[in-house]
Amino acid sequence: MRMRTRRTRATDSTFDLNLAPFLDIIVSVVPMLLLSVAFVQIKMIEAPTPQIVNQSQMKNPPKPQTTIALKVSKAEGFSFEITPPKGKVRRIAVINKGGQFDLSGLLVAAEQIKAEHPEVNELQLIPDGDVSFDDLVHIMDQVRQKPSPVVQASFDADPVPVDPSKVQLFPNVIFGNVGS
Amino acid sequence: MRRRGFKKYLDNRSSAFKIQITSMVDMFVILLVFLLKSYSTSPVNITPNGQLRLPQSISPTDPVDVLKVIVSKKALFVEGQKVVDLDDGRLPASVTDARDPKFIRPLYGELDKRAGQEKNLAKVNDTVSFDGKVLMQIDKSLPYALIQKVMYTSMLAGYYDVKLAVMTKE
Repeated sequence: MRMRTRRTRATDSTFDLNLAPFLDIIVSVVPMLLLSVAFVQIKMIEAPTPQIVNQSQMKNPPKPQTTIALKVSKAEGFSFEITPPKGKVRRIAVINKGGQFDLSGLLVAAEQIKAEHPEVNELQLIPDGDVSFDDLVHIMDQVRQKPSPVVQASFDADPVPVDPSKVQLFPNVIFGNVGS
Repeated sequence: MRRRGFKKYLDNRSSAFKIQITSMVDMFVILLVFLLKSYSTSPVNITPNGQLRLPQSISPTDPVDVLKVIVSKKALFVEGQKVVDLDDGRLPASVTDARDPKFIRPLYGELDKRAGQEKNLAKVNDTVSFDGKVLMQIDKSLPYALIQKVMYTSMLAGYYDVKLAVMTKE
């Protein structure tokens, strides 16, 4: 006599996963992550202040090189002062446009000066007292590096790495009038 | 015959039912991935308010865990401790030195105390060193005249390596 066989659950081609424990874990983790989530990214800008020269530097002073200062005035705009080790001080002015800082004009002037003095990486920022911190940060962004070009998505070739020395203008911006 | 079948169906019906949670799990997994991606491990935590709004910048440098000075429109803080009250970004004349108007006495006192503590710690612990780094969180509307005074005072207290906290454009 042939015995009757019952189809068991294990032989079913479909079965239900018990998702309840997984859901318990997610429900516990999500509130914790929501508390520590950061919707804005905080970064920083290096802005060292001038230091007192120590004795070793006094004995072996660094080789004099061209210094570049940028004066910022709310009324008059920007004024670059390029002081070579020997020779006259040269001034390049970027006047305001419509009562606002001409940031694009500043970038053009900074690129021109960098092309003339590629060895200089430091810029002394000398703002007036009424210039706001927001304006200062925009000015520092403008003179530190050239704006990054818009990269088109491409599947044809590997992206060519950009040489940082060609992008950077004056990466070391220091406040020149903190102590004065 | 048909009535008997319907009665049997009603009798066999189970009182318990199963909730379909697959779609809810899908939703939670997407939420979990998004939250994990935006999880912050930054040493700088900022609670946005009307008195402290950071400027936007394109700087890619991540902040470091050093002494924090906060300059808001209402007050000046060192590591969360209020040092000077400000009147909408203006310093009261009583807190500056008469001979040196850029010198903020209460701020210098607090920074000098903290620099002394760090230097004493560096003497007994080789892994710690005093390098004069300070991270300043400054409200974007404040004028340079105030920032200059804060930087000048911190420079005199030994904190000459100033770092300015900004937000990225994202």
